[in-house]
Amino acid sequence: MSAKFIVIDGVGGQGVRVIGSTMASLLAVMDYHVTLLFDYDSSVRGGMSEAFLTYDREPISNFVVECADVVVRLADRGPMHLTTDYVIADCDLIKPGERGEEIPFLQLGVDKFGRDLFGNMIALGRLLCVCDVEFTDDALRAVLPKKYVEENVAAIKYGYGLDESSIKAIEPEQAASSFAAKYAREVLAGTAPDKAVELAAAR
Amino acid sequence: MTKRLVQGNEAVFLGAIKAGAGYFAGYPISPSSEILAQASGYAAKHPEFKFLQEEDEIASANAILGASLAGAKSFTATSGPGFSLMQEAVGYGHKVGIPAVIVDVMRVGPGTGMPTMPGQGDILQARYGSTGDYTSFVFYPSTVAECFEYTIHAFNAAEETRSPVILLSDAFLGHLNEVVDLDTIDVPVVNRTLEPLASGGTRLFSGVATYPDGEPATADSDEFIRQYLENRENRLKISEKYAFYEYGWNKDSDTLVIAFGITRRVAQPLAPHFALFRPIRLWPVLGNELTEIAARYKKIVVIEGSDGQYASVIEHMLLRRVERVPLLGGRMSLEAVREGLDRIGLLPKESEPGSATAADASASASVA
Repeated sequence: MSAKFIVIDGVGGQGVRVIGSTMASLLAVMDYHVTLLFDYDSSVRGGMSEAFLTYDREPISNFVVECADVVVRLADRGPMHLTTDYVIADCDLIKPGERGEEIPFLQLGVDKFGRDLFGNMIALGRLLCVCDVEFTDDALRAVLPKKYVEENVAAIKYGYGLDESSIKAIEPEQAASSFAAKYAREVLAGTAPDKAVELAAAR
Repeated sequence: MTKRLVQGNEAVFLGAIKAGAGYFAGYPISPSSEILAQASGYAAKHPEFKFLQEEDEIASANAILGASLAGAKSFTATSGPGFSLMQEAVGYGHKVGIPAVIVDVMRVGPGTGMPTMPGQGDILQARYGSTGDYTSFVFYPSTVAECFEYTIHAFNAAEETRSPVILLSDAFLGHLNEVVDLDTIDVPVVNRTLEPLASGGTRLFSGVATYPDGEPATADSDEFIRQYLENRENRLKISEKYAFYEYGWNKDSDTLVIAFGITRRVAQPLAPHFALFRPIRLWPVLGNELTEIAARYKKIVVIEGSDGQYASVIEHMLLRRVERVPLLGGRMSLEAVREGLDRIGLLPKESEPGSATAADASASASVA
């Protein structure tokens, strides 16, 4: 295989780090060479948060991704000078001319697993599927955060199992961009991050 | 330990522990704060390791010098603005002869600048930041594994030279996670060289010029010069043991690229087109090695995250023209490198844009 270049684009607090770290750790367990670079703005809460993930069977030198195979876009704060082959985006975030799909991850997190934060794991599952990464449950469990392991496994598998027709069947109720805007507004108003996520996700 | 994802800043901290560090004092600043956080967490579980969050960087730098005088291998971590505040202590440490390690995870300056964006603007500050003449040791790794390895070397060099040694990193390297097995990195550790205070005898550590017997020598130029030259010669001799560099890529090219830290990583896809010299020990400059290697090439270009700081040093040392590719505003990318090379007419026609893996390089590089 040749190296795969992934970018996860969001705002602080959305789960960019969790998705990036979990996928990178999973790939590391599967004996890939992996680089994972976190880039963020100085206003961490509500500011730009990016993860640049590269994996390969060969050692990786340049870890700064400029031409991504896949971008996961949870908010449009993305790095400048980035091109991409395929975008997995929350609703309303695909740009004109881009090839990709829109999935209401946060909404699915609430609808299917009771919490918006499981939307991150659904996005991770979809990313793993698009990248053709085949993993075992044991490998997954070994790298997941210790809380909500079974729920996270289920959410990842749900995302992994999505296909074109099931994605089309989902009726989005709220775009991720409005989540990001609401979240940033709450944080700037002094709301605690956990509460801000809750308020931003409220429909 | 087995292979696992390790962050650059974490590797620096683990390297310090491996080197025998027993004391950390610091003040949080992006993008170095993970080192402080690691030290704090470690101290909570290892009472023999002392941690102090100071009120600022001035206090941090002086605290690690005090701890070192008291017998502990000590270190701090900061970024450019904090490093500026530490410079008085750096000079003091050099004058008195105190081993310590200062980690500077560089971001874009000056001032607060771009706190989370990578920069390499502290190259000259690391050498000349304090007052007076002194001989700085400065290392700059470019992988997570090297962050671990050269932190140990930095502690060793600090012990041997009895001076504050600088370990440079940058926002990208500090926040980069790579799969490494740090247990496979074996660097012999130099033991403490300085007797702790209160172990007998008289020790003067005021920072003023003194005779060996402790009497002030503040108006004796000859004595000052004697001590300075002795110190310089001693440190330059020690530096021979720390002549770390990488020379490789396409050695048959007529152009030598000089890049270090992050810039060496992002420029890797150009490996088929250029020779590479990567100084890992930035200061003292690897004069003999660089002079010999540079003589083989028609052109020299320095790719760096400042507006030509190290290029000026190389140009001055080699007494020949050195081209510059400055990567400014935190834009550390292959695209930016290619644009810079294009501006000076050195962009290879056949190279393709985009990232690449080490395996893409036709020539391998070796680290000396």
